[in-house]
Amino acid sequence: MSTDFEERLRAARDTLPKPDSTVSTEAEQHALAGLPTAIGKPRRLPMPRRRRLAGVAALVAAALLVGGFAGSELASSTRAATPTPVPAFTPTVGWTMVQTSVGPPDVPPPNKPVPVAWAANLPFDAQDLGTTWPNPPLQNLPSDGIVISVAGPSEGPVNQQARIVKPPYRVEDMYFWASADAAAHALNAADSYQGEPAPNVSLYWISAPTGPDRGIGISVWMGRNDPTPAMKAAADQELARLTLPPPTATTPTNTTVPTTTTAP
Amino acid sequence: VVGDDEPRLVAQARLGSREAASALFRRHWPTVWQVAYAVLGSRAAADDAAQEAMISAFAALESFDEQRPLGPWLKRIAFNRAVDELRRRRAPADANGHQTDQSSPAADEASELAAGGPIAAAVARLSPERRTIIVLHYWLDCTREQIAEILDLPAGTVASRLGRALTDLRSVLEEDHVH
Repeated sequence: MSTDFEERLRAARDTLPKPDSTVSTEAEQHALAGLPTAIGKPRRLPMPRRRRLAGVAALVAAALLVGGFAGSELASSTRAATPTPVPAFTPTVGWTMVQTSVGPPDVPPPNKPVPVAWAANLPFDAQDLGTTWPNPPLQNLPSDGIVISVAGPSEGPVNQQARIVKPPYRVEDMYFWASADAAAHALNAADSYQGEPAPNVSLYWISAPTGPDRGIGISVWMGRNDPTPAMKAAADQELARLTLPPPTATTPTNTTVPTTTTAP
Repeated sequence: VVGDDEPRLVAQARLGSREAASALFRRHWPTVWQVAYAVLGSRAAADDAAQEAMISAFAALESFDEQRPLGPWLKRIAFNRAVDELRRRRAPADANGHQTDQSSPAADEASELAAGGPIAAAVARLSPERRTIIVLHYWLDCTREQIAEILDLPAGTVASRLGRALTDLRSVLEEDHVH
């Protein structure tokens, strides 16, 4: 039974501020466009069949495709630089790179599909990303495992009030969610973060503007809740190999998983 | 308010429907933002935390059990994100000078929530824990069971914390000579 005091308290509910309409609009666009893996599914490239048919030739083609997409240092050192249409990681020993572009084609901004570049210090294939969350590479991340995803650039208004990070990207500049969350200490309220793939997996993440109407989302999952300095350094080094599309580039609207490669 | 169409919208959003995802966003965004505001007491901080919560939630939509209402799940994400932000703001700078934003939400509280009258001003002066549970129960109409889910606490603990929050609120009002 409510007391008079509680009734007076309820009557004051309208004093609780409401979100600004501009912020709301930006937040909606950012939420829908910033992390496409949320509401799209990676399309599977018929890579096994292509490999079966073309063998080594397919691997060579994939490597060239990576070079072209990445605008990588390797590529630029041997031929004229080409525009980078999607984010990519310069191939390096010990890291696997997968690119995905999700969602239906021919969608205008801000709902255009946003490509995602994945990098991991363990072997995995685009098909391992699957269509469910959490996907196997994250769910089964070993204690020294690192998986990085970079989604973007999204197109459309970006919340310029968000924390801005600029290259070189460093995990220490990002938000950190571990299994033992801040809430456990501050309010004794939670012991995990939503979407946590497995109890041992922690997440560094940031959604960062890269221009007035473009932004990227970076997620770095690690296989332990207290990532070691070596793991953080390894993630930073891989992030330093990230290549983002130039501002004038257009993202492809085809829905493919173009490459899966491990550097030689 | 959970509409009858929510499971359908969740299912459609999972299949890639921007319209469904947009409808879900617009339905829950105001409350998600207010949960973040309740914890942080700052409009600017709530903007960031709520937006990041929604991004995180949509990223993990496939992990959501669509048989359950979406609202409490989103509120919990917003709450966790806001608490994370609260800790970040309170954290001292590290050796490299990062993480130096220790701004107090007091200024925003004074300028907005506190301007809403004596009760709102008293709510604004509560600790984040007390303020959050008051806002959830009395202003956002969450039941004790829902609060337990959002805060990941036993229902009995919610009841005792709610009682302590009310006691604190009365004390603040008495200090302010509001009866």
